[in-house]
Amino acid sequence: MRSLRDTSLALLALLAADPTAAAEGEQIYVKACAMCHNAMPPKLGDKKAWEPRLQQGKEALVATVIKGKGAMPPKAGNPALSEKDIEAAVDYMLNQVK
Amino acid sequence: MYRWIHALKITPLILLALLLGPKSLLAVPSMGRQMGMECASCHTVFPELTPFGRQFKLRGFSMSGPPREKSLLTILPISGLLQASITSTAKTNTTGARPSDFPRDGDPLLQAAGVYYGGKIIGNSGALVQFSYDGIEERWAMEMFDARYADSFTLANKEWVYGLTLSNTPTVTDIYNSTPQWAFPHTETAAVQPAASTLLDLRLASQVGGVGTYVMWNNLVYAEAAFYRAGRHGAARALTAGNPIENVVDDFAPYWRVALQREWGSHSLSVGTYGMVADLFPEGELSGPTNRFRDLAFDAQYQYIAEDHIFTAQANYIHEKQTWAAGFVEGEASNRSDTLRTLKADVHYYFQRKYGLGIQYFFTRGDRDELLYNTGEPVFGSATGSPNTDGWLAELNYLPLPYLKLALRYTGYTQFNGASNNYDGFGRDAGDNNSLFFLTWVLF
Ligand code: HEC
Repeated sequence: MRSLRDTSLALLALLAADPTAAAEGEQIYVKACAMCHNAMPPKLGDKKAWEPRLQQGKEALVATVIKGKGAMPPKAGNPALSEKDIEAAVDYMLNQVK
Repeated sequence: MYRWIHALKITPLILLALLLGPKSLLAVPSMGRQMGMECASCHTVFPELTPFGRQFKLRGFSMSGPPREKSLLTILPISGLLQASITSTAKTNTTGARPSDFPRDGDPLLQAAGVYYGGKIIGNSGALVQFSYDGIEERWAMEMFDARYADSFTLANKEWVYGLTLSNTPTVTDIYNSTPQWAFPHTETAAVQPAASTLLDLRLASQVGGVGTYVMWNNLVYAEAAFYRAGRHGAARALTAGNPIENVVDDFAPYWRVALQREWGSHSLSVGTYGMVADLFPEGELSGPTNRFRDLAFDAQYQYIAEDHIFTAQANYIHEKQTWAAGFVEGEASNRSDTLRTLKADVHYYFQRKYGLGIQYFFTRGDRDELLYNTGEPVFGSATGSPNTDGWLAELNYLPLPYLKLALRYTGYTQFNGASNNYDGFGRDAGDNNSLFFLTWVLF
């Protein structure tokens, strides 16, 4: 039951997502996030690591990236990133674990 | 005349560094280039590390940023360093004091100039190596060596990061700024130093070569173990190249370290303990009986790092038991064993990583030992035979650029080598050793 709901949510998300925005999210991720999130936790696509974080909701996660948390510097150490860029990258990251 | 020649030597070097600097805005600049990140990601104000700076070191200095255009600078992780300073001591003309007791006092001094290899070597390995000219000792030498290999795995949803190190100074491998090699105030001055210091407090710096291993579990527990041996032969000699080996360790000296850390939001906290046991030959000897130094230390660090405001604090307490198996027989120590305890505690505030203030309180306490400390020398001796010293220092920082630090430091003593007044028996007071120090420190 739950997996059915999850699958349909994922499908909905895919349908709703604007493909150019998604590509942009990936680009930003590669440029500004991958050096950490491919190498250290929470890693891209690691469902166990992201499960508790998903529950916070996207807005809260974007706010956390802007403020910084633990080893993640404010704005991921890249002051040139806009809130929109960060949101696109977070979208991309969340899509990998949905 | 002499002082002007030196001033002239330093100025063009600093100008050159400033010209080269802006193209590579990052500290240790080669590491910044490797990650494609700003200094601020890894440093509060260099050389203090942020939580991510610690991760970068833990992971072997080998993480790298997005693929970039290849150039010599992005392939070869080489950076440069320059330090120019002036030290001015309160009084240099007390009874018995010779000008040579205050070398270069009041003169501009090229304190250090050299190169770093800072960053990835290959795969999961990297290094931070500093080979430089020391203007106080007047020689080129291997100042710092830390080469490492690191990897990680996940077990039961918890990450283990582990690694191997090859290094030339106990605590150079540490990831916190509360242990001696990386602790405030980061640079020494040319002023007179108190007679006593513990082994862990850099008496073995660039005197030994060692291999170690470390692990970080779940970003919570950090542990490290290493063995060091005298930098006299083979690989250990290479790691200490250029340094005369004055503190010769017999056989192997074990070093260990455990720390707990916690990060929440913009805050991080660590508390830890570390120690070392080493048997050292008396000065000038390479065989026969040795003296044993057993150091046990506790340290802690707190950091609050926001975009505009940074507040950090460090504390470090070292307890040393000295057993003079050789020194007592040979008439170098009056007691069969002595203890020595040192404390350093400091707080720092930085505004926009541009302006900073750091204040440190320190003391040294130890057993009276006539032969060790009452050497009968003016300035350096102790008429009471006690090593007790108390003082504080304050440092103002200004960083016009992230890789250029100007520091103005005042060091004040309320007790020096056992007394406040007439500590050397020749009428010199503790306060006569107070000093003002101005430093320009550039990385490029
Ligand atoms: C310098 C390394 C680094 C970079 C660069 C980085 N992150 Fe992170 N990120 C981390 C670390 C470490 C954590 C875990 C923080 C913690 O839980 O203490 C994290 C956590 C997160 C979280 C979860 C936050 C939470 O509340 O647990 C999100 C979302 C995130 N990062 C997104 C991004 C995005 C988007 C980018 C690129 C724009 C990025 N990160 C770049 C290191 C980094």
